[in-house]
Amino acid sequence: MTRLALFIICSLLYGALSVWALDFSGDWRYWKASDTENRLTQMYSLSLSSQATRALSLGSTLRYTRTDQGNRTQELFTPTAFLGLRNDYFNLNFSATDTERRDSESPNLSTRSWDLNLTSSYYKKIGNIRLYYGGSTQQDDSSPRKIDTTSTHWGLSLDKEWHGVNLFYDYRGSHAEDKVESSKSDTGSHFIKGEYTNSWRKLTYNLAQQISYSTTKWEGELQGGRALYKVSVSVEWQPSAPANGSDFNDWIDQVKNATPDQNLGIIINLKGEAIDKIEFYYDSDPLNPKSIPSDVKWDIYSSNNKTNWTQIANNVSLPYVFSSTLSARYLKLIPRNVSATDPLKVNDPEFRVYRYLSSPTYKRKVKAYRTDLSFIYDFTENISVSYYFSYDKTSPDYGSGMKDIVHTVAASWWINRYFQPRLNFTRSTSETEGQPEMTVNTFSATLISEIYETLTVSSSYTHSLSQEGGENQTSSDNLTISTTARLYPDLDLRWDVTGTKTHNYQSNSDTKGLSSRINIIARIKPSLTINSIYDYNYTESSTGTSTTENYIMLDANWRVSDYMLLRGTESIRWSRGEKLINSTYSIWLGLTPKTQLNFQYSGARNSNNTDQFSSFFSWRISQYLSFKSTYSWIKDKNGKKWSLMLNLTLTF
Amino acid sequence: MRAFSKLIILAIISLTIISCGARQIHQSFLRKEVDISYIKQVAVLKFENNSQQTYAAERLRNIVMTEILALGLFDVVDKALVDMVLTEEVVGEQGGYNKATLRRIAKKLGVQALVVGSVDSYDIMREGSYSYPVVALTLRLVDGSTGEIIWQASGTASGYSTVGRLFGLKPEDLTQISFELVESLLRSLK
Repeated sequence: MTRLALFIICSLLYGALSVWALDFSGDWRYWKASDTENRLTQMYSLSLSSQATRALSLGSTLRYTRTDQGNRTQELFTPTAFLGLRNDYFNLNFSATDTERRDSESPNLSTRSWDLNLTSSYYKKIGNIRLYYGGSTQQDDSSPRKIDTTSTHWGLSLDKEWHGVNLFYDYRGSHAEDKVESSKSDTGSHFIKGEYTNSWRKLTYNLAQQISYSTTKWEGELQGGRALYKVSVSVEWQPSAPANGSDFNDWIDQVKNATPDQNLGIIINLKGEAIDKIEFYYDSDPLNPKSIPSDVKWDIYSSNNKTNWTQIANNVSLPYVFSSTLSARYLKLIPRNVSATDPLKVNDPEFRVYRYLSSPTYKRKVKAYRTDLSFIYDFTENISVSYYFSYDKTSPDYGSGMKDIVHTVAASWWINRYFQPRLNFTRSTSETEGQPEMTVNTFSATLISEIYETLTVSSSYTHSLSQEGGENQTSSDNLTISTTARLYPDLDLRWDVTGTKTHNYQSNSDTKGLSSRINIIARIKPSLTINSIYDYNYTESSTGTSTTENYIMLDANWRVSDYMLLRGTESIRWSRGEKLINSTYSIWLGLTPKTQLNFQYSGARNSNNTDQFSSFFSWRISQYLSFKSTYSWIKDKNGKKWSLMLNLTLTF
Repeated sequence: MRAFSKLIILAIISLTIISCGARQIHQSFLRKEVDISYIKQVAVLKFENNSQQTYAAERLRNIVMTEILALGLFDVVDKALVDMVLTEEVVGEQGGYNKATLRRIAKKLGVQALVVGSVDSYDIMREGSYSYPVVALTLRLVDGSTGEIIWQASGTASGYSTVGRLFGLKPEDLTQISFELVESLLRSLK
């Protein structure tokens, strides 16, 4: 019956169709490298699309990818289909995707999903409406199965302006079933928000109120007297998460020396859930997830406000099981060393956080309220004061309740262009049930002087004090002077000087620091730009340790002609006993309108010298056919390596 | 799932059927005591044009002549002859006839009855982003000897279609719905 329905729908649609657009592309890539087996990847894509009528568009894409490397063959077959209907009443979009993965060294995997989305702005009394429904399944063909999941999700949202008040309502629900883990979960949430903005004489005010209610119901199986409940968390990476295909060790290198108060590492928002275990997979492939090797050690910190971090584990491996159930709002993880396994090739890195349950069922209901208020009063065009208040309360029926309150008062006065003072005071309070209240008071004063049209000086002083349970934790004072000058029409200078002093009341220790950055950009002629940076950083702690670091960088970019571009960068970073010199030189040549050639050398000189030479060649053979090739040669402490890639692309 | 599929098929078929053909409303009058079998030949005179389209009246006059012949109702006098007589009678482009004029025209052309009419709408309407044609027409059959109205029918036809508006299908054009409207009006004479 379903097939008959599809046949009739397809027949009707086919009859209505007048024009089909057909696209085909083929891509062949061949890799040869000194240290790995040769690899050949073939990709084919066929797209069929049609604007069947003025309102109806539909299409389908078939993609096939095959990778052969040694004795291993991987195939990926991905058909997708979409249908869009757009008329005066509504917009309807339907899409479906099937991904069939075949791998000679692992079980086959099928992933199917579909989504239906309906939006309408036709009924003015109701406002804008959005309805959606979708589902997905994932299964492998091993026996017994390693993966067998189904899920459906649905939702509704409405937004409307009513007497100047913007109203928004959102409902969403989901059902998921994991037949391998024998678990089921149902979630639902309601969210409503009202916002009003207006002005009265010189006062502009804004009021926003939002309420949300969410439920989670989970059913699993007891194994060894406990059930493992996977907690839904959100993860922030700083610096940003490593790209797929990159080496996770390179990411570790950037953060391994970070202190918890620095904005570096991985922050996990536990959303009020208590947890017992944390795992990390640098490759989250559903059939072969790769856990981070145990030789990578981590420091783990917890916080309720992302400002005051308390260490809860030191130099531990992941997966890590906490000694007792942990209740905190945020976790911060900092890896302290790279792995001996090199490389750790990243593929959708994922943290999995679990809670041990003594019962096979788990239910949770969370109510949350948030109020935002802001007032801005403009005494004159040049003097204004503002006040902002927010109150955010989360009340779960299970777990710790949380409350955040923020007050901010700010004032600015434009006396003249030489004297533009700004003041700001913020007090933020975070309360977590059963734990001491965290408070951070921050005061800042800024003075901006536009001395000349080409010279602006800005100075800013910030004092911050954080308290826990009424007791002082840390305080910091920060003074920054920033100068921006246009020395000549083609010569820009920026000089930032920052002095900091931090006091830790618990250890009664001080840390002082001074940093300076001078950046000069010279556009010597339209085709030649030189950029130079000098950084100086000095820190000193009351324990007697101090560090000094200097960094100089010179970068030149010269477009010799429309056919040639030269670029060179030299940088040197030195601190006590360490020196690192980085060099990069490249030349780009547009040999003919259809061909491009690029050569690049980059090298590093420190305890481990590295030299890398790479080239890139592209040739647009015809309107439909193009060729690219890259060659790379590296010499480092591990010896010499090279790789070659040849790529042919055909597009119709 | 089967019930759902059935529902979808039923909905599509229903919508398709509903959307076929133009939407029409019409009303007609036929004098009871008159037997129109005595009418063998008619002349279709110029129609009044109350629409925005300059040539609407002439287009519908041609369609009426074609449909009278196609339905086998009467024989129709050639348009050129009719226009020649109308010129002699100094009838303007907007029609407008009195009884005496009608009797004279019928006598000159040797017909038992005359067909006159007015085009009340011949326009493209727009709702949102959807455009569709609307035709409204009134036809009268007048006795050639008395100048009395024997039959009168009025109707309006629209190319609007809910399915067309939903799925962006092209509506019927003005000529198509004009033929459909004229045919349905003339069928009330049978």
